[in-house]
Amino acid sequence: MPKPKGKGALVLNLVALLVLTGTSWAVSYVHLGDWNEVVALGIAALKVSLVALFFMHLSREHGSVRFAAMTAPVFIALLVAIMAADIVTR
Amino acid sequence: MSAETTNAPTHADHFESLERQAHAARFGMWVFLCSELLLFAGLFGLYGSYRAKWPAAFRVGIEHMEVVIGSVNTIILIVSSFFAALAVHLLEQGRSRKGAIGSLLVTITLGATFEVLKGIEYAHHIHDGIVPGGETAFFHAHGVPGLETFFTLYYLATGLHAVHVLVGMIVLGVFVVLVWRGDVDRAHSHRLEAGVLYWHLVDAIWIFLWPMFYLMGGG
Repeated sequence: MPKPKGKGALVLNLVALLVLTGTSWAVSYVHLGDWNEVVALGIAALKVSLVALFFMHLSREHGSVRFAAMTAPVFIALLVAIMAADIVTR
Repeated sequence: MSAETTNAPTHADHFESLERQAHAARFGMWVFLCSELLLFAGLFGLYGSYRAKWPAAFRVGIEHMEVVIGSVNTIILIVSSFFAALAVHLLEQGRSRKGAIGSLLVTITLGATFEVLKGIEYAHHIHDGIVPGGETAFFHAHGVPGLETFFTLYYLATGLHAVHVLVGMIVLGVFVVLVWRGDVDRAHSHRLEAGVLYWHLVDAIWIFLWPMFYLMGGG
């Protein structure tokens, strides 16, 4: 079995996640209008990507596993977008 | 399956190799995680729709949330995910079974802390008159259409998530025993990895719930 990347990578990922968390919290106090929502959700998506890639090891997984992992997020994004569009366009 | 160590790690008969078995375990776990995520999909969809319909109610609702508790809980889950990933790493390296068990115990303790803080938060809400369905003085006083919907969504989403945290703690608790007994060892670390993946999903869901219910207010 190849030697795993090491504790250092995990610690780095933890630090990145905490920094992004702090950033998200700080930006929420800055008035950016509609952009507040975009930034908050965008940072959340970035954090989940980091968890998936480096804590859940998607970065070293076979393509078949990555494909399976993408299905739910893609369908949820479609569901939320279309449901909200329904309301907004009435 | 036995607790004795062997020189050649064994795999189940219906797999060609241990590597194939491990891959199948991880693939299957990801498919299951996606189905768990879809359990929340309806709630995310409702959030998007009701927020589009009643933006004022959602902003007012978020203003009443306790950002400190929510943020501390976010940090707790992120740190717990680190320790869960560390447990898998230590078991894969094969050097420290006790280290893996210790990391899992830290993860479980952090999960318990999350649940306690969530309970305290719910108690505060109820004390203020914020209950699911909302027929209390709090909602009459505010009179913003859709405010009850926001808080009912909040209770549903965070309540369902809290149940998942509890299940995750139980799953990891089972793995503490399995690793201790040697049933899950370095050669079969994919089993622990599968259990830890569930915990990461719990963290990932909260990473979205936090901005949705605590940050995206004001404006």
